[in-house]
Amino acid sequence: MSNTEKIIIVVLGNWSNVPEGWKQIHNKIYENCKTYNKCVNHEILTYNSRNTNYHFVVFNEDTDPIGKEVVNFINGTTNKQFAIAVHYNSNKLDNVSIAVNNLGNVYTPKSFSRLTDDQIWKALNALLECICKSCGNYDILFNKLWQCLVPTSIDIAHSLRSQILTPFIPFHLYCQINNEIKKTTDDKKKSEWTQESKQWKEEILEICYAEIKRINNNKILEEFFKVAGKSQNELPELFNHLSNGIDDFMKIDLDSCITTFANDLEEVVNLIESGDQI
Amino acid sequence: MSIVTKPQIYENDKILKEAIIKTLFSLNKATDNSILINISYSENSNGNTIYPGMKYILHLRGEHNDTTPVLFYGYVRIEYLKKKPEASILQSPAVEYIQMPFKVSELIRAIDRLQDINRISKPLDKNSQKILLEEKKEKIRSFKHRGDNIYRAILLNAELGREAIHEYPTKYPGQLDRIKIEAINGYLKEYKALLPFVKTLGIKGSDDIIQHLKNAKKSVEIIKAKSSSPAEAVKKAIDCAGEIKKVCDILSRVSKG
Repeated sequence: MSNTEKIIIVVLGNWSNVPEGWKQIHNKIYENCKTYNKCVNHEILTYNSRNTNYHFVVFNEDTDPIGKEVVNFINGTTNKQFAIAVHYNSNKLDNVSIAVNNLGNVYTPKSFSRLTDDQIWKALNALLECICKSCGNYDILFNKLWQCLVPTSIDIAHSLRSQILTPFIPFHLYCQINNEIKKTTDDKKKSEWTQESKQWKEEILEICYAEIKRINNNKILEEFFKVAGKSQNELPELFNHLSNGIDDFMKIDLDSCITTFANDLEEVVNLIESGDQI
Repeated sequence: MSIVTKPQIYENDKILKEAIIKTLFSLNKATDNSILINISYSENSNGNTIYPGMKYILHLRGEHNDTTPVLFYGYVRIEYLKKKPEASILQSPAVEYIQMPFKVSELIRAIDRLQDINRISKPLDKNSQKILLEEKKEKIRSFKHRGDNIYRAILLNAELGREAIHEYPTKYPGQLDRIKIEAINGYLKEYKALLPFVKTLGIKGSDDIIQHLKNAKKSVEIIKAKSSSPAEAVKKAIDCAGEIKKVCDILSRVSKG
């Protein structure tokens, strides 16, 4: 990660009554361009450290449409990671979030407020002061803000666990119902279930099976274990039955296997929560 | 046999949602008076919320006084959730949580517990009420903060305009063109959306706010019409700033905590 170029994008207001608004950053970077409000010649402000891996980019919240402008900027760069902070009062968080939603190299934007006890604002304020006063701690303060804006290990673990387990849940539900129907002596129920079972397979389980294969192919499970600093020793039982079609997959004891698999993932999440890494 | 109507399920993953619906149908489980919602359910941007589904219900209960029993589900274990202030709604009446993957028998038991509950008197627990109250106050403080910026910007332009007419008394000061009617209209519209929150907080003087904003708007309309003298236009700009300041002064009575 230390070699990855990081860019923090911030959407700021002018804050003419407060030293750390868009206007002040603009006047610092473009010292000879003292505009009253938003300068149309310098709409995107970029500040780099001597370590050129850390870039700080400021958009004015009056830029319209802000989402499109941010996306254009991001698409104009390559091989970088982006974290975004949007001034709460600008009401632009949704515009920006929706615009960057499908970009793989951008973390979910977060809002900050100068009015509350806000960790993001504290870190951002320190960085803005540093830029305005040309202090020597830019890289340290940049990374402090970066940590506030990107997901923590536990956030990533929860997100990946959800992504991995979700396509298994319909199989888990289906198997339980199927097992109950097998036990019943109600022939009408059994007959109705034959039709329902077909719908389950066609409308739901086939799609889930394809998603499980995608998760396996994209090594998302491996990514999950890496968050805990753990390497995946062996593939869970469930994934050993993916090559011969859904019917073969559904022959295994899915109820038990999925429950065990979920418990294994839970253990890893617990490890991360407790701050331990293997 | 219970009549199974389409349940209220809030789930972003369409396939999972369909699977839950089919499960309930197969179980002949009626849930028409319950809400099933994923703690991660989100209508739009999450912002800084980690459990948007819980926040959704917090607002549903707090702002609309909805007392529909709620069954939350998610992958997180309950012991972890209970430590999170964002999950305080778990303490509210007629709220249950089950962790995925769950046994269908567990799902049935949770729904049955909810359906056994008679009318609830208070939709939210005390902590959730506090959280919601603080959110409302925060919205009003942010609105007031924007008002401060608008007031200062208008006042600055008015003062620049006044300086300009000292030099050119008959020329309409261009600085007044920076005062935008759209800003006032937008601010007024925003206030109208906040009005229910303001009313619940019972802020002294808040009944006058809409009139102040309308007065501000009227002043800007006069300035834009350019039918008055430059000096009068500057005075109108100062009046406009004054009206916005009055609004901010009233709203500054919203305290923290």
